[in-house]
Amino acid sequence: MATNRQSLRFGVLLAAGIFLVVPDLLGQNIGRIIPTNEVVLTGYGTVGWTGRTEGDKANEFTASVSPVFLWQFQDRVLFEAEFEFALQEGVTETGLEYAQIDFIASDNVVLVAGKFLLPFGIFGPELHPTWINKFPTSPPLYGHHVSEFGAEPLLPILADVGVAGQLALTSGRVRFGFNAYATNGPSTDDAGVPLPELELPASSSDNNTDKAFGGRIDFQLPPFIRVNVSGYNGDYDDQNTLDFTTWSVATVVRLAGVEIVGEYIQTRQEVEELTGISTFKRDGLWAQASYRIGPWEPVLRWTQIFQSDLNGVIQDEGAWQAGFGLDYWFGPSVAVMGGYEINRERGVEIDNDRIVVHVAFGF
Amino acid sequence: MITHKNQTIRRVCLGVGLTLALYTTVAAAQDADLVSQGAKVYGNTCGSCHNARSPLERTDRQWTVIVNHMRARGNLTGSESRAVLAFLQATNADPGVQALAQSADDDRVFEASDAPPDLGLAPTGETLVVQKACLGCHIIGPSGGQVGPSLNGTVDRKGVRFVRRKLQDPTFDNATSMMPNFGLTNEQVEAITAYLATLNGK
Repeated sequence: MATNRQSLRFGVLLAAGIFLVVPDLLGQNIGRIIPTNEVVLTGYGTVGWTGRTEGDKANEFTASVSPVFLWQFQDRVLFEAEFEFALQEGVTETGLEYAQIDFIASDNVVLVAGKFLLPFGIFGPELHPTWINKFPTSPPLYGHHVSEFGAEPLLPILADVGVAGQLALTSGRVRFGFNAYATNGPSTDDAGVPLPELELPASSSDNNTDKAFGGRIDFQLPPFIRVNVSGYNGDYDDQNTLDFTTWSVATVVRLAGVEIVGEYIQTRQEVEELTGISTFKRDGLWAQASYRIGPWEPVLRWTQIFQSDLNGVIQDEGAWQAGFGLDYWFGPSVAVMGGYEINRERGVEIDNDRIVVHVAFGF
Repeated sequence: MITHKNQTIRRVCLGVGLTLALYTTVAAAQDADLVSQGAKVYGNTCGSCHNARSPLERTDRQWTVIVNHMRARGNLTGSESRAVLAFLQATNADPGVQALAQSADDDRVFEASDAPPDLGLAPTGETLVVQKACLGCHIIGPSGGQVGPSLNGTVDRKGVRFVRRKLQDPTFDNATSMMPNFGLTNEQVEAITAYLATLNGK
């Protein structure tokens, strides 16, 4: 009898031990299948037409494709790469959007190395693929695609080479995301005085010993609201003396079928003058509202770049764009998107309006 | 010596047996919960950046990779990723197989009618609603998700023909609907419609 009780006690303890330990060991085995060497091709493609009210390129057809390759090794390591092929003024432009290794370190932490989209704001890392962006052009704060906007974009879609870590936490219905990264950072090979042209495209070489650092803090109450704050800082000259800093606040709000996306960005570039180091400041915002009515989705977008100044002296008056769009969705990732842009540069008599229509296909 | 060995073997067998029994019970309950939770995360979190893609677009293995990709891209936790994957894998009857089934199985060629459903099928419908984790997205009775509309009173509001068509082809009225096509048979559609009809007035 005593032996039976002992056996039962031992059995229960063993069962409890296995029950508690095994799920932890299997914690990363998401889903029913753990593939090894599984490759998936995904991505998006676009064909379109652009018509302009002025200029020698009155209208033109466009096409681009961005294949994304995903290769998973066992259950913790993923290699992902996105290429971009686009016809641009008679030339096929190619680009490596990102090529990164993700290592799933724990249930909450992912480590990234390689060339990756910087987690800065919302549009660059998450909304820019053409089947996700609801307007057929990017907000002209970003210089990713050709724009008729009067002012220079504030930033490209930020991507760089380096290492990153991200932490995801949930508490009830609330989600928090924390990103931090170190990358090669900005550079310049321009001796422009006083304002050297900054180069932000990712490069596998660094022109100085300083790395750029950045991060993002993200708050979500899905599906209603998302707010994040991002920052990025790095030296861009050879001597590590001139700083480039940018930060943003971005939000997505969804209420009663209306989706509103907005982002404010400020950039500060230190420049060397005879009197010392000055700061060239630029800022701008974009906001977009859309509403789904069956397969139709009207979209309104406003973008503005404010006056820029160098130590308080205005450098340019800025520019604005009003966009009116209408999408027709054939499926969750296939849509015809049409948009009319009114582009105006403050203080300049110029009419750069254009109409853009494209078919975006996420595959 | 032999007795001691036997006792040890008996203890180990008992331990393993109890573990398996515990797992079977807990896993069954967790599966349904996980799929429901996954539907919520998929609709609310993935859907906050882009339209939720149909689970039918990819196979189980492909979703495993894509969910890891989106885990890194969308900063999902491991538990969120596992739930989303469970939802996608539970609702993605292979499109190729499904297309064959649709062409081969006459039972699936469905004529949505206005005829009142046979309420005697409601218990079967209720079981199917639990199996398919409809609660993950819809409020049914007092609880459920908010990704899709409440199913309380939906037969009254939308009509029995609409409900039958929606169950048969979730995209017939909305090309971007994230509701999976479960590949339901005629009888299953009737049973679920009957169960939903019992929720009228709730």
